[in-house]
Amino acid sequence: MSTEFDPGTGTLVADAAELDALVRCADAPPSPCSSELRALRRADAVDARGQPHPALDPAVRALRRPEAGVLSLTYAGRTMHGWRGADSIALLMPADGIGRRALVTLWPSLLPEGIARAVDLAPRPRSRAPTTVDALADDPTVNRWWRLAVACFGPNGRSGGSFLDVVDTFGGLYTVETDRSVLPTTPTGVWRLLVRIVARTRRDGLRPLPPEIELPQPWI
Amino acid sequence: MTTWHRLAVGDVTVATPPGWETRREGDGATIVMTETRGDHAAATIMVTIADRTQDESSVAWAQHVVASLGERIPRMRVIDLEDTEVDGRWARRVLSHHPHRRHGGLVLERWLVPDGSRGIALTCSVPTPGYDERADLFAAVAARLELGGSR
Repeated sequence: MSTEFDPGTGTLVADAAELDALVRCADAPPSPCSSELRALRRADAVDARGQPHPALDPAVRALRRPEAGVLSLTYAGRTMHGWRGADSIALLMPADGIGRRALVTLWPSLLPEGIARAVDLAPRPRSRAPTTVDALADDPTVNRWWRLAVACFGPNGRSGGSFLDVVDTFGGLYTVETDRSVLPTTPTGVWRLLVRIVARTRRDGLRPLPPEIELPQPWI
Repeated sequence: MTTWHRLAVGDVTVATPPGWETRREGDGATIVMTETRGDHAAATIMVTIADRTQDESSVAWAQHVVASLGERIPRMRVIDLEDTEVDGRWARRVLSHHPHRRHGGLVLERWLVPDGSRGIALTCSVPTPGYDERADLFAAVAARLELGGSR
């Protein structure tokens, strides 16, 4: 499959080697003869000097210097990684079944909506009763189980983080708490937590990030 | 102790959060309240009253309002719909989000209240990062809305 770039949206679909070449181009452009650079140039994702298209530049900067933090969203058997730069977020997600990934640039304030679209956060019936993780494990009404993990970076490095587990069932939404209890919530409740994670105004309702949750690293 | 002031549009009365600016628009059937914080993240609350045909059920009217909003606002995503009450009447709360040229993302939270031959809409908007901090205030304004008229 060929490399694809949409300058209107700034979305690049490429394989891992091409993405790596894109991010490293700013320092030391790979050989003009490299197949990765040729593919990126054919797609107009980089110019003749190997520099990213202006629509891709914010994503490349965020990948290289995620000043505000990194995140991962696991949903429906897929993982989306994010790098939060000073003024933009680079999201990298599976694009197809053959290893290509889509690189998308977002304004930080659009991150909750990007996550909502990925996990289909939308109107749901009102779940009523608390339940347990074990009870939900075999529950046929569970439609999706997703996790958002976010690490924040400050001037002195990593400054904390939080994560959120949501169970989306045909009967409504639940959040998984620290003690593995599962509490009913609503799309509004989940949206507030997404906004809280992004705006970093409060921490209540969010679980502290344990070390075993893997998060992306700065690309370089 | 902070004081909520009250403004009337006909027999509909809305409580204004302390310190917010208010103005009337149109022919007086709209009240606009704006948070005074001197930056682009200020929230806005608007109360509008419009005529509605009683041929439509309450639910159908609310669905029609949401659908027409979606047609006017590109890439609007409805996050939540909830049947609730405002001043003892059936109402539908609608939480939505859409990209916005100036703010990046904008959250709209609306309470739609069909009331006889009129439709009352309480519309709260805020740039996305400010929603969590304003959500309780928006709900408090909805809880203080008084509709007057017959029940």
